Amino acid sequence: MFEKVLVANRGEIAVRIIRACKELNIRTVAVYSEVDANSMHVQMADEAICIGKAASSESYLRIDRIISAAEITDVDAIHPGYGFLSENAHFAEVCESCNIRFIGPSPRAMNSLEDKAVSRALAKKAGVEIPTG
Amino acid sequence: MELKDIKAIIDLMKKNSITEFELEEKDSKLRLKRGINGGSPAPQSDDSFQMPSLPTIAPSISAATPPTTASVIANTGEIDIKSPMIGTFYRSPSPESASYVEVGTEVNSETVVCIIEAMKVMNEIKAEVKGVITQVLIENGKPVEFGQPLFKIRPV
Repeated sequence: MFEKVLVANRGEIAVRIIRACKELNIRTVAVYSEVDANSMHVQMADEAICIGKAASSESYLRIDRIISAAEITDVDAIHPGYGFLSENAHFAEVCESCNIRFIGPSPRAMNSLEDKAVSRALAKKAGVEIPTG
Repeated sequence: MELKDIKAIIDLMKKNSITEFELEEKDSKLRLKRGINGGSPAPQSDDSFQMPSLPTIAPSISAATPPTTASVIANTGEIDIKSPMIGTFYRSPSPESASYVEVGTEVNSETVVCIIEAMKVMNEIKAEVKGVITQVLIENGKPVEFGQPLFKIRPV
């Protein structure tokens, strides 16, 4: 089990992950943009790191900043919640290369399911019935 | 109400992240407001702010608005150099070499004041203003977050 998890999301999504971690006795790190400094997820987490300006493209979507925050807080894993970087295969790969567990599907699974044509071919190969068209 | 009372309120507001505070007494009315996002509102000067006995209160109100942009002039005239990224703060280019700047060092906008290491990349941070370093706020090797003040500088 993990000792410390960084939650790469905000608001209700982050709050739910932090609550679950608390139940499991896992320490949590919240990340936030300047505009979310007073958010509940920031107050609930054991540690909180400001990662950028209000725009999510300058904060929650910046892989480099999330990873830097993970490095300085020395976490074992990152939980992306949903939305933001949760379906970003590249992010999952970067986590892997930094020895941080990405809590979610493998980059391979994400790559093979993000494209409809590839997904269909995969389903066909596995013998799953698919509608034509 | 005295100046120190207002200062105490401002401290409490900061501590508890309160952005607006209003107090009405018999003969006076006080309204304090802190900036939340990017903007640092000007000291309140509308009619609701009536403190005839304390005309010098305005500077302490402006001090209560947190510096939010890259560098904001506090009431002392000093500017914060803030961290543009998350990482580890280093005062010198290598452990053996001398610090980039010390208190009293004169800098211009291009002077490198420190390094912030993020994801094994050393990023040189420039002063971005001309002035004199008056305070170093972070210890060498400590982690810093986005927007955290690193140095205080007196612009010239």
